[in-house]
Amino acid sequence: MNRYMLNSIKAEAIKQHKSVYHSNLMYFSMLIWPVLELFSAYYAYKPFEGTAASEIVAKWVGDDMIFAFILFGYISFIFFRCFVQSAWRFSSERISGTLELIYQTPANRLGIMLGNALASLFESTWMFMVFCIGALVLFTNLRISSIFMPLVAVLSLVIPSICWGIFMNSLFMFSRDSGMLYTVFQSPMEIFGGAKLPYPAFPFWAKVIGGVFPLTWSINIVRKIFMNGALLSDIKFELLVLCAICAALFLMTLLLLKKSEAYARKTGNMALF
Amino acid sequence: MFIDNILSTARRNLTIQTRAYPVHFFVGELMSCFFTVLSSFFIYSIVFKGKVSDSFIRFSGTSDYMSYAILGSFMYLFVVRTFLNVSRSFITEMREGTLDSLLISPVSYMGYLSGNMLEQTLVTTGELLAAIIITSPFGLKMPDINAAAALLCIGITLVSLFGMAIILCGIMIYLKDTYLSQNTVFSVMYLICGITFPVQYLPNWVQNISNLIPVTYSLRIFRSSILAGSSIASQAGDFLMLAVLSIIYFAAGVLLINRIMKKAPERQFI
Amino acid sequence: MLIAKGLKKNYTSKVKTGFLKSTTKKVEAVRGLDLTIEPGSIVGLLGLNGAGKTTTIKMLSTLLEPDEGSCAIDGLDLVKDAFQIKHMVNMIAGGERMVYWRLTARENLEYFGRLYSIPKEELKSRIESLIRFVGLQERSEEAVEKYSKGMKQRLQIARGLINDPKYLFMDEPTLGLDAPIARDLRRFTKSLAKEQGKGILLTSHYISEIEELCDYVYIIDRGLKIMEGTPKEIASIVANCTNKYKIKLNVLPDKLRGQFETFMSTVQSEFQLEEVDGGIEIDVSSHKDIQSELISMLSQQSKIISFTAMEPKLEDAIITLSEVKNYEQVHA
Repeated sequence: MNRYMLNSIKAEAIKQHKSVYHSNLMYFSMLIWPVLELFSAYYAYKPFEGTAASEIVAKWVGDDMIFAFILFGYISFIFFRCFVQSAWRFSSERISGTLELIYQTPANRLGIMLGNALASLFESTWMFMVFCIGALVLFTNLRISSIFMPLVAVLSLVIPSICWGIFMNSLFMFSRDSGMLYTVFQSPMEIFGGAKLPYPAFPFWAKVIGGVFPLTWSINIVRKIFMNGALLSDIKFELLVLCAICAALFLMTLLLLKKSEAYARKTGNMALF
Repeated sequence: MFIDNILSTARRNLTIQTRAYPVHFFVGELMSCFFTVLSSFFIYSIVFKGKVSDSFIRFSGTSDYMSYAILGSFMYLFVVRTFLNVSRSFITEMREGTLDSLLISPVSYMGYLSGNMLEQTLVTTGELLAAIIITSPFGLKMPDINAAAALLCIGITLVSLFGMAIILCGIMIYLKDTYLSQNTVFSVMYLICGITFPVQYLPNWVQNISNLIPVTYSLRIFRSSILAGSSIASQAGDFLMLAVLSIIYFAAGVLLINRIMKKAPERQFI
Repeated sequence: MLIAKGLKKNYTSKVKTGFLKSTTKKVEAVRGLDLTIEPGSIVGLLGLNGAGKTTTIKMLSTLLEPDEGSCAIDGLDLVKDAFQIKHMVNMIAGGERMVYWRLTARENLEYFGRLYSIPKEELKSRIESLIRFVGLQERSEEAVEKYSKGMKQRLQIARGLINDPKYLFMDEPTLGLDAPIARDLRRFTKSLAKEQGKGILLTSHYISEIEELCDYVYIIDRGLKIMEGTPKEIASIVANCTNKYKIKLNVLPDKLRGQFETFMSTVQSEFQLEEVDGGIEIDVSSHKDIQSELISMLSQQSKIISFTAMEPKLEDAIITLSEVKNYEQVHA
């Protein structure tokens, strides 16, 4: 990592943080809306309470754990969404014309993407802490094996979400209609990733779609750590898959950056897709 | 004069929309409609093997959960699109720099807003047809529809949505914000108006709030008329509440907007 | 006739001082302004940025309600009869906004025309003549976003005339326009007043524009009127309060230098000396016209290589005038 890279990361993270995260937006998008959405997801289960199938569901979810189950899935989803949103906002810089200015500087491209993603780290971690503490206070039947494991949970959210964030960033950056891409990725990730639903219950085809998203594996890890008291050995498969996905995302980002800049130099057009 | 304002504004908006239709808004709303239904489908068919509880049947009067959920998502589409266009209309003019040319003319605010509402209703109806098509694989069944009750419900609902949209419009101008206010309203309504589950599951104090929002009644009448074939007479109570609330919201909206708009040009400076 | 008396407008804005804390800040944009516009005349409103020109225009065009003061337009009250007044006035602002970019020129005019409830046939012929008038007939069916800056500006002018206003307020109408187009616009503004009898209020940065067009001029600074008069009077005052000369001499002997410095201090003028290739350059700025005195004094003992009297700038004049005004206020 060279000097340009470090400076690019730092400058971009500070700019993004200053221009976007004023306090109101923080409270609404990271606290009030998630709480409302969380309850909506919880009540969506109500029409099925007490049916014969709910015993099978308890096997996946845990007895009387539906709320905790949704909570951990959903905040993991918001953790990821946060990075996607910041990527999306960044892509709007192409419209306002500041992107070209950034590209005229010798700034490291990957550094910019990384800095942009890092700026969201602060708000998403803050949100995650608040909800986790809330969950620990609210639910007495949570099982955590050691103090060390929640740290593993946070890391298995932070690293994949950054990789996902920079990948989305480069994808949005070079597409003509980032608004569309944003919608195309958001909701399927929420459903197939199992933010509100038990992933193990999915049919094979849905499992395949969900398996592509790093979120799916992060959610599994977080739930196992907070709800089942998992140890490292219990989640080694998930961790392995997560590492593979992250590496793949990182490589694809590098490829995309390289290709798009060559394309932009040749055609004077940033849009690759 | 008033009618002229409505028609010319509606025509102007239609021209703009057909020339540069906000495709990602449309796709976004259709997708969220589709995924709301898909999510319900996952819970219902895959997780709970197509069985609903007795309490659901008692509260909703139907055991057809998928049709219940699909109708809810249609109503939500109408709510979101109306608020996105009508509530944001003045603030969009403000951002695009055309508010002054508008306010300097003897335009009637209500005429202008009605024009926006008329145009948006036409557009949303078109979008609803698309929504009906993409959600058709999930099986909307209307075995016993009471068309008169459903149509009357839609009519009054439009008035109430318009009233709420005007109030939200005033709030947006006052706060000079669209993003935070619109999304807060959307997530509150999604939770408490019974879009994906009967409001009876909510705690009592929340239900009391639900009962102050016309959409709660609209949804109940809409579903009951379409899924159970209930007549206007048998739902007279709900119809009455919906009508009363619509009038209240509408009147409050008119009062609010006239006050807020007087100060609107000034707020552009701050 | 438009008669405004003691117009005042304050803006209050919230200033965040910390978490959940804020204080209100009051900005006095206009502090008691009197002005009169007669039909068929062009009145100029001059001032630097932030002087209150736009606020004044927005008050007169019913967009803002004055906090204090009154204004009568042909006997109608600006606040009470705002709705009727809207039919009689219109505003044209510089810049490219205020029209819908996604609509064509014709569609824009049709929309605004209908907001004024102009009968269909009349509107149709009026739009035709306005489009011809501003020279957009060839591209009237194209969306405005494809227009050049000047064309958008011309469409704005057509929009401002759609209700055939008796009084027209023009806020920096030539801002950012090319010289030939600005010249056309000035000619056209003149014909609106002289041939169609409209009363026009014009704000501008350019003294030459004001001199060419206006029958009467008000100069305002920080919301207060600091001067009024015919453009001739204004121009002479402006010329008087800022005289700048650039003089180049081949030598400046010590004796002459002493004489020059004494003279400068007696006429309360400022100067700067600089030695350049082949002589000495002197920049003089004075509140008085001292051109002939300077020439006669300097030419006796040195050779004047060049002598330039700089054109007086409005900005300098306004700054000087407001300094004088402040001085008078403090010492009154």
